[in-house]
Parts: sequence; structure tokens; C-alpha cells
Amino acid sequence: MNVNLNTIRHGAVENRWLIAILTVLTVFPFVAPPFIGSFYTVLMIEAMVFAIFALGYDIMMGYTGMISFGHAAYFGLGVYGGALTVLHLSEGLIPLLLVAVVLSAAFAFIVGYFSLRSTGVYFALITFAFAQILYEIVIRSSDFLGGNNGLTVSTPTLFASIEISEMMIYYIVFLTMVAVYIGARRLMNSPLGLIFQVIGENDQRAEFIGYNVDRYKHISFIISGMVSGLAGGLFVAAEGFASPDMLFWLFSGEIIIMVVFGGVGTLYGPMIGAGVFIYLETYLNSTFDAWQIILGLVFITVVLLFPQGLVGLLKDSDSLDSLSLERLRDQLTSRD
Amino acid sequence: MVATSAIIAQALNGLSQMMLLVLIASGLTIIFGLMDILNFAHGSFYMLGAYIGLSTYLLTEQFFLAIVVAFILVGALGGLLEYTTLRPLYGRDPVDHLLITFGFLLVLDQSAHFIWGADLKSMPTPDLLDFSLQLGMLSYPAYRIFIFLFGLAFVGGMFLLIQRSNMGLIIRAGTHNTETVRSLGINLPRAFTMTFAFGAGIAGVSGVIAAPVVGLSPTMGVSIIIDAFIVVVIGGLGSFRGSIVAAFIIAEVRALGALFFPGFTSILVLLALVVTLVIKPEGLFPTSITEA
Repeated sequence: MNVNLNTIRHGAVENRWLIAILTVLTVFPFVAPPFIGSFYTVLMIEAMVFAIFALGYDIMMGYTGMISFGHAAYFGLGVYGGALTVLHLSEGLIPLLLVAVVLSAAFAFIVGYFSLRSTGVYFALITFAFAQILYEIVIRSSDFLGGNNGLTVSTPTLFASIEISEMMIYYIVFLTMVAVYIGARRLMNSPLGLIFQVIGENDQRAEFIGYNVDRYKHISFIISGMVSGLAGGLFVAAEGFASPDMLFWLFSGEIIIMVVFGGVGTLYGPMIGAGVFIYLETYLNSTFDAWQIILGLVFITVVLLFPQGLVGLLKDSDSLDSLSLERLRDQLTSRD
Repeated sequence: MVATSAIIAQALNGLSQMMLLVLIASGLTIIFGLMDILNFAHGSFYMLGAYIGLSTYLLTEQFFLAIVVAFILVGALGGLLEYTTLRPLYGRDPVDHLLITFGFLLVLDQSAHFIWGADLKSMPTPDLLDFSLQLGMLSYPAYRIFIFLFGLAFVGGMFLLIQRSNMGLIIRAGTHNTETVRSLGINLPRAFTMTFAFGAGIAGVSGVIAAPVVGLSPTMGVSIIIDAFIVVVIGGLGSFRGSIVAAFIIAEVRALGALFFPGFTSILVLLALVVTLVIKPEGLFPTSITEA
């Protein structure tokens, strides 16, 4: 996949956009509901949850250059793990999220262990198969996992006693999203993140330099799985249900669409892509029966003509890529 | 205790299912072998073939005409899609092709939903084949035997095509080394379009053949593509012979598994895939289309 190295770049224009978006998101639930109703607050929560998921996917796809076709598994494990925690263990939001993250990390560890010897299409297919196994288990289950009907759960509480309102879950999701974004950005500027990018650029060369490529791919895969699981946990906390659709392979395809649509390898691009996707889905679904036709056509057009995605369209073409490549090379050669 | 006749009947069902899988998987196999594209929309071509076949059959009452029409229309559609969207991407990351075909899947499945509706439709078994054969103490539908024989004839035809025809020569050579084939002056882009169209056409035909036994819905492609992927991967991506062996394994695991582990056959099949990929990532017959 096209790996961009623009984590290193901090354009002034981008920062201005970032501040504008953050400001809108901060005041949104206060200002918007009187005008457009709280429906949009819920939609915004969903968009931000998927933005976290897309970000998690981009860590792996956009930087380490691996395409998983089974990422629904990690999101779905977060959803189901979170739902089961509320039903059987604890009503608290924090235990819910902890279980979601730990479960998806554990599954990513296992799948990564088996799949990382393969690359490209084979890797995509193994991740796909593992995710489908989870899906098959869930739809054939009865009461405990809810089978085809899924699970419905009540809203979790904060610190075991405080009821969580819609406004609160909005800010919890929002702050988590910002924190995960900042974390991912720092990660990609850290030595570990740079190794990810070297592998994404050319894994053979990374191997020759002496990096244990499989180990770093595994780490990248687990981090990506954890972030996806966190998004799943937040989803069940906010929406209160778990559905087997969230483990199905078409859902794995949708997250790839969001990421590619927004702009692979930029971190913020996939988040924008997720937001636009959720709004398009909601808007087109209510106005036009066959919205997936439009979705498919838009997606094909993006892959064909705008491989840099939405953010690639917005960005000035005269980028600093060569500069950042040089910096990257300096950092790599100065290390032992 | 499962009765012996039930086991035999299921094993026979497995054989006809195997031939359907061979038909579908062979399209995937030659496309991957020559072009290195894993076609996510292959199940959608199968689904479209079934619907086009149904419409033709209801219109003309001619089953074999339905097969031909499905082959031509789905094949033409496949060729058109390849020409307009996949061809411009050669030389880019192969994963882009996978993404594009996923886009096809969304558009085609939803279009079928739009044109033919979401409700389950069924295709009548053609009158000519609508009877049962007495096999010893077992009464067995003739149509399933037709599927098996059709598949057998198809496999024979494919072997001849791959071994003897010019097209087969290009496919075999292209599987080994695309660059050399190109430098010999072969019009490779045209071969790619033809191969993609042919693969799509076969998928369309298998849709028509399968329609009387499986029933039609816009999501039928999504459910078959998983088995088809598993077959081509276990067999070795690009290996025609491998996909036949793998189709046999998967179809029998499903058919007999339904007797002994009802409800868990999908998990068994997926586990078979995982085990194969972990032990032998290249599949049972790594790219041996040349020796097919």
C-alpha cells in the first residue's frame, strides 16, 4: 500500500484545520441539539467510534503495510467482550473497556502468531478466516452470545455509581478519540513507529538492516487490534447492543473503505473517512434504497483515481515527502 | 446412529457440491494464476448468473439457453469491468485490485437487490432432469447427477483448454513469468481481459447450474465466495488441479459434517483453511497449473 511519511510533517494549514475540527467537536453537543436535534449527537458519537476504529486499522495498513481482511474480529470482540462484561461481570465503563481491549489484544496476538509468516493476499485471507470463525461461533451460539439476535445491554456506569448521560458518553468518546490520535501520532514519530514505516516501505530492506520484521509486524498488528477493540467497547457502551454483523467479513471490508476513502497512512485521513462514511450511510440509507451502489461506485473511483483519498485531494501536491524521507533515513542510519 | 443410506446420499450430495465449487473456483484460479488478482466479486458473478439464468428460463423455458445467456452476459460484464477499472491499475499495488473487486461486490449485490428484489426466489428443476434415479436402495435426484456430470465434462474441457489451446499456453506462461510473456510480443492486456471475462462467465454458468438446488437471493454470492476462497487457497492459488482436490475435501467435509457435527461444518471448513495456511501457506499444489 502507499505508505506516506507525513506523520513527520506538521504543516501549518493542517494544524489550522485540526483546531477548527476540534473546536466544532467540543462545542457540538451544546450548540447543535436545539437546532438539529439530539439525533445528530448520537450520529456524531457513532462517527467518532468508527474514527477510532479506522485509526486503529490505519496504524497497521498505512504504516506497516499489512492488509487484514478480518478486522471486524477485533472491533466485534470489543463489542461482545464489553456487552458480556456489563451483563455478567460489572456495570462499570472502565471494566468494560478493559475487557474489550484485553480480549482483542489477545486475539490479535494469536492471529498474528499464525498469520505473519504470510504476506499480501495470504495474510489477508488468514485474518479473514479467523474472523469468520468468530462470526460462525457467535451466530450458532444460543443464550450466552445471543446467536443471530445479538445482545442488548444497559448503559454502563462511571466509577460504579455515576449514571452516564448521552452528553457524557459523547465527551468520553471524543476525549478517547483525541487521546488515541495523539498517542498514535507520537507512536509514529517514535523509533518504534519509524520501524513500522520502514517495514511498510520495504520489508526486505528492513530485514537486511537487521530488524526482526515479523516481531515488529506482530506488535503493529496487536496495537491495531487493541485500538479496534477499544472502539468496539465504546460502541457497545454508547449504543447498548452487540450484533453478529459486527463480526461479519463485509464489515471488515467497510472499515477498509473508510480508511482508503479518507487517505491511507495519514492517521487523520481515515478518521475523516469514517466520519464521512457514517454520514453518507445514514443520509443515503434514508433517501435511497440501494445506497451501497453509490458507496461501491465512490469507492472504486477513489481507489482508481484518488489513491491518496480525501485528504490527498485537499492537500497541496507539492509536499515535503522527500524532505521527510531524508530525515527518516538520517534517523535510521544514526542508530546502531 | 446415522443410517448408511443417509451417509451415501450425503456423500453423493458432496460430489455435486464439489463440482459446483470446482466450477466457481476454477474461474478464481485462472484469474489469480494469470493476473495475480483475488477477485472478491466472483461470488457476485455467480449470483448474477443465477438471476440472469432464472429470468431467461422464465422467459423461454429453455434451461440450456439460460446457461449460454448467463455465460455471455456475465462474461461480457466481467470483461467490461476489467477493461475499465482493473486495467488502469496494473503495476500498482496488487492490493488495489482486491479493493476494486470489493467495490464490484457492493455494486453488483445491491444492483441485484434492486432489480430482482430481496426475497428468496427458486428456480424450477428443468423438466428434462426432474426425476429420481434408483441407485440400489437409494432414490436419488437426477439433477444432482447432472451437476456432477456437467462438472466432470467441464473439468475435462478445462484441462484441454489449458493444455492445448493458445489461450491456455499464455495463461500457463503468464502464471510463471508475466514479463517474459510480454517481451515475446503477446498482447497481455487483451489476454487479461479475456481471462477475466472467461472466469466471470464460468461463475455465471455455475450460478445457473446451482440455482435449482440452492435457491436465489442477492446474498448468495457472499455465502459461496467464502468456500470458493477456501478451495483456491487450500488447493494453492493459481493451481487448477489443487482446486479440484480442495473442492472435494471441502464439499465432503460440509456434506458429511452436516450428519455428524450439524451446525459446526463452517467452523470445520475454516479450521481446515487455517491449518493449511499455517502448515503449508502455498497450499497443497503450489502454482502447478503448468502440470495440471
